[in-house]
Amino acid sequence: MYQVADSQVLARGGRALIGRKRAGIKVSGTVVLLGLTSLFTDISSEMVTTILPLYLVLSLGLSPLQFGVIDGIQQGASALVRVVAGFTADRFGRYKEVAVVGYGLSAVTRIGFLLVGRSVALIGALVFVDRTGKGIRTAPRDAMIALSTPKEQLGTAFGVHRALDTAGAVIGPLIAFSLLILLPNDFDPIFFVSFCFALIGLAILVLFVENRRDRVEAEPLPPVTMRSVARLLAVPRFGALLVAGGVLALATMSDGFVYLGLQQNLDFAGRNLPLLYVATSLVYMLLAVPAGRLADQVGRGKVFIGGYLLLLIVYAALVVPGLGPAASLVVILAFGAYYAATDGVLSAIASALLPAEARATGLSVLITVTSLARLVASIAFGAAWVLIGVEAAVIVFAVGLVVAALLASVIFVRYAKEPAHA
Amino acid sequence: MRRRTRLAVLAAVVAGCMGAAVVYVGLSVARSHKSSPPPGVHVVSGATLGPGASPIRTKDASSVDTEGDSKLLFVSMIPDRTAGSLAVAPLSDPTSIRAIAGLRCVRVYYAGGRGLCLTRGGILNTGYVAKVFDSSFHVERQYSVPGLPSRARVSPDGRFGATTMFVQGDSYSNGNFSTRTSIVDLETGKLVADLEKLPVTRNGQPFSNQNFNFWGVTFARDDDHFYASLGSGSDTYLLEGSMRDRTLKVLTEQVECPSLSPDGKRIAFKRIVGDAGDWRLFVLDLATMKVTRLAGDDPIDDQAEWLDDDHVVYGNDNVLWVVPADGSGQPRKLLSHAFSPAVSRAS
Repeated sequence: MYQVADSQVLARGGRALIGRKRAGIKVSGTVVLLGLTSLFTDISSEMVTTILPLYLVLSLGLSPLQFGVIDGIQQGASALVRVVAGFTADRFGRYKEVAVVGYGLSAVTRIGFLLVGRSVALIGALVFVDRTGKGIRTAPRDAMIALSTPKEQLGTAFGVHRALDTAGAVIGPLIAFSLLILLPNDFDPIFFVSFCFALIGLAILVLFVENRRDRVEAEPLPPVTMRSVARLLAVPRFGALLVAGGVLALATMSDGFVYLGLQQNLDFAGRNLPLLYVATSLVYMLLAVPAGRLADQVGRGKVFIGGYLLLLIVYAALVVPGLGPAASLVVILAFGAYYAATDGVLSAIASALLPAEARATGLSVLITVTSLARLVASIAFGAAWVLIGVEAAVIVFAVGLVVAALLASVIFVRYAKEPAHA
Repeated sequence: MRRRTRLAVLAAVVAGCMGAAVVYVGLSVARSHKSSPPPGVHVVSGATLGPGASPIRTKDASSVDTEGDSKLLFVSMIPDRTAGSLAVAPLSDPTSIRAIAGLRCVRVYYAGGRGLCLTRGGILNTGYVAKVFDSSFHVERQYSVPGLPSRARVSPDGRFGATTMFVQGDSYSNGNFSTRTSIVDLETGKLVADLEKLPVTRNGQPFSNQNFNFWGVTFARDDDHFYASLGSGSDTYLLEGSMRDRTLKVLTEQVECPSLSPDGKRIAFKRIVGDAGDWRLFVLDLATMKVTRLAGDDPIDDQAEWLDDDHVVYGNDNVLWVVPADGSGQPRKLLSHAFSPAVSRAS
């Protein structure tokens, strides 16, 4: 069933990319292959993400207001789709197929951008489809990573995947800007090249990744039902994790606000915002594997909460006056490390708690809860910015973050402690 | 599928995709170099402007001599390799010829012998800079401006420049746009005012809100006063500012992107007449505060420019239109493949 040899060449390439051999990190071929799929898909999607504001505002003459409208509608729908996709993947054991639908939908939108021309409504629809695709694929993909990894190595496996994924987020914008330098007013080649990368990512997934929920968990899997999903949420430790992840997300400012705030407080950031973003991704990429390994060794909860404490440094840089370029460097390091210590690690924590037959469903619920909490936080931060000013808003969020981290620590110690595996 | 078959299929997909990408980009580059301007547009390179500058060079030097004439500056969008370049045409007959300068701009303005060109710059060209150029299009200085370019203006004597930039997060999942508008002394390159930092008054009372956004500056002739628009939520206001006193006061409501007429008596502006984004042009008489809607049915998103004291020119969808400033008549197409108009008046 599982074609180990099939993927060896590719997996070796992926391992070389992250220096896995040298560091003595062992992850399954599936993890590396899914990482490569994500790498190419992220190159594709970040190319579009990077230039879309330019395209809409400069090329199509769209006002920021219309742009905001295009963007605002989709969060709720994408959350619903995510849970349905996770549930479907678990129910039929079809993780790969559901993920293929998600990756495929996003790939198709790239061609769509070439075809729809200047219609704002159609562009909005494409962005919506792209987001829906992303919603569909995330949980089945993380479930496949978890299902092909022994429990004690989950942190490392997610770290490897996130490192490859983020490499795409670093490369994508650079390709997009290079193409814009080559062809200053032509966005079509960017969409076309983006489509090509999406196809390569999709091909790796379709050709080499297999559904293999039997590899780690040997017992037969009962079908997922609505009732078992409900029971899943009643599992005390998973419920506790939802609360911990949720409260921390509630105290998290969105990236957009962080970069906006940095722009106002640090002069460096303002001049080259996309570079700040790329540099942060670079740090995230480099630290994802070490953070995952550390989580496996010292405890995932500790690393996860530690990551949020790093976020406090970022908050501080938004309000402390008179910071120079050196502070920008510290902020980039802290922000990248925060991502490395929290994103993959949270999925690892959840995967260790969730029963195998409901892993995609559980992960989709967790991602939905945290992303909705982040959306609420984003709206709240925007409102606080208007009402009490940016400094006061950041301070409120920083205090909230400290409280949330304390609460999450208590939860981890009392309820969500992972079974000892050493 | 066997292992070899799978690897072969992947190799084919990668080779096919990369090949197609290279061919597509290559063809786009080739097309951008080859394509000729649309019929009827005569393009020449080497634009110059202003007193003492040599006239626009043409292949047939006797056909156009614009020295002493008023000229129209704009960003030329003829779909070839000159697309996005700053261009100059005689105002009396702008379709007859356009001279291409060596500057690329996404927004340009020119007045009093000095121009401001918002263009890509910074590390890897990932940001934007404002380039200050003289009448020969030599760049005198440049300064970085954060965000996406929206508006640029120069005071009538060329002393001061104003830029408005959209500032936003890194991701399109985040629609939090705001604007930053600043005034710079173009002679020294020093910041004169960041509009967000100036106190605003309305009916003599302090007027403030954290959510204020400022955009679209237009300068008076006295090197002191200027006008700009202020947005707060869905409301917009016309502001009159003083650089000397460092104050802003609200004059009236529902005004965006003001543009002061050459005689300083009227302000052309855009105003939403329906849904978001559905702007039309209006003219405000500053003496009577009477507002007149200009002719035209299409939504306009531009900071208008005055052709003379009786006509307004604006860009829409890469076409420049001219319309009477008294509400009469209909918009008339002035020039195709062009946006960001600026009129350089012969003195």
